[in-house]
Amino acid sequence: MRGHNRAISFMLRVGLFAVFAYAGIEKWHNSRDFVEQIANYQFFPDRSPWVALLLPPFELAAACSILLLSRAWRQAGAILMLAMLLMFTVAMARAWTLGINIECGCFGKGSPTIGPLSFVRNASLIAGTLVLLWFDRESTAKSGQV
Amino acid sequence: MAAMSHRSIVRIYGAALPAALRLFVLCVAAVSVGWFANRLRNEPIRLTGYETPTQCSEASASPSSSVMTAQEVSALCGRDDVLFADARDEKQFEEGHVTGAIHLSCTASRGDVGQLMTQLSGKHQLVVYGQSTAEARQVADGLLRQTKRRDLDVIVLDGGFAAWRDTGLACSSGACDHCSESSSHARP
Repeated sequence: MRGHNRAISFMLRVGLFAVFAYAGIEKWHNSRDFVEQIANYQFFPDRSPWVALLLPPFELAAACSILLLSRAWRQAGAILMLAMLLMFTVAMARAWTLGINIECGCFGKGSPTIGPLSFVRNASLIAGTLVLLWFDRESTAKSGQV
Repeated sequence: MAAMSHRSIVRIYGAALPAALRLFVLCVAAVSVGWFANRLRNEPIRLTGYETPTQCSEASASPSSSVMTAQEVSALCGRDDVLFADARDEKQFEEGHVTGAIHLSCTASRGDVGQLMTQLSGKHQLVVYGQSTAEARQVADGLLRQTKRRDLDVIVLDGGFAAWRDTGLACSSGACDHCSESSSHARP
């Protein structure tokens, strides 16, 4: 990986780590509100406590693995992050098309209401994760490391 | 060529398997940490017996209409993106209505706003009036929920049709032009 690619990769890792770690901690901290926020999506509302319990540790695990662990684990973390981002985007798009006017719940209590900006933010995070995966794939191919 | 593609398949397969395994380990770790951390909390999240809220909370409240006086509403007259809707009964509509208004009960029957949606295409403001503000507000909020259009600003005429008429603003009489087609189907 060339110097500037490495720098971009590092900045992306730090940025994604910060976003996911913050989101995970906020959700965990305000888990009761988070349960309600998930139920508001009207997407299996009776299962919302399970989602509220599992989502923050998943976000923290993904965040830690992309910044603190080795490249192989970083890839797994980025894939997990990508899967979560796609899931969030689908849930938000569903609520948006149904006209359900709710807080997105992305960063716990006081999150912004679902709107065009939420989709722009998610698209940016997805793009960042894909770029990170691409850089890692490139460097893995060059070094021959799995 | 074939040997190369075979080699790439082996490489991809070989790389994907450990990646999937790591992903699995990551997920198991997250589930375990979440589970145990929840048990250690003073007030853990109860996974069973959760009662789903009957209505969305706080910021999640559904959008509501706004109320404007007859004078304020008159400033919207003649604009292409504004539609006036009369929520009163047919007889009252025939006796007098805001010029250019449509009659709601024939365009938006119970649970069916299809025809109204057609008339709302290209419109960004819907002014609803009735006999009173409260009556129109109820209809307006119902329409907001049914149309599910975020770009539509629904306005309730304060004081109903009487306020409009008393202010001396433009009124018309006669049956709704848009009703003739639907009433032949809907009414006996």
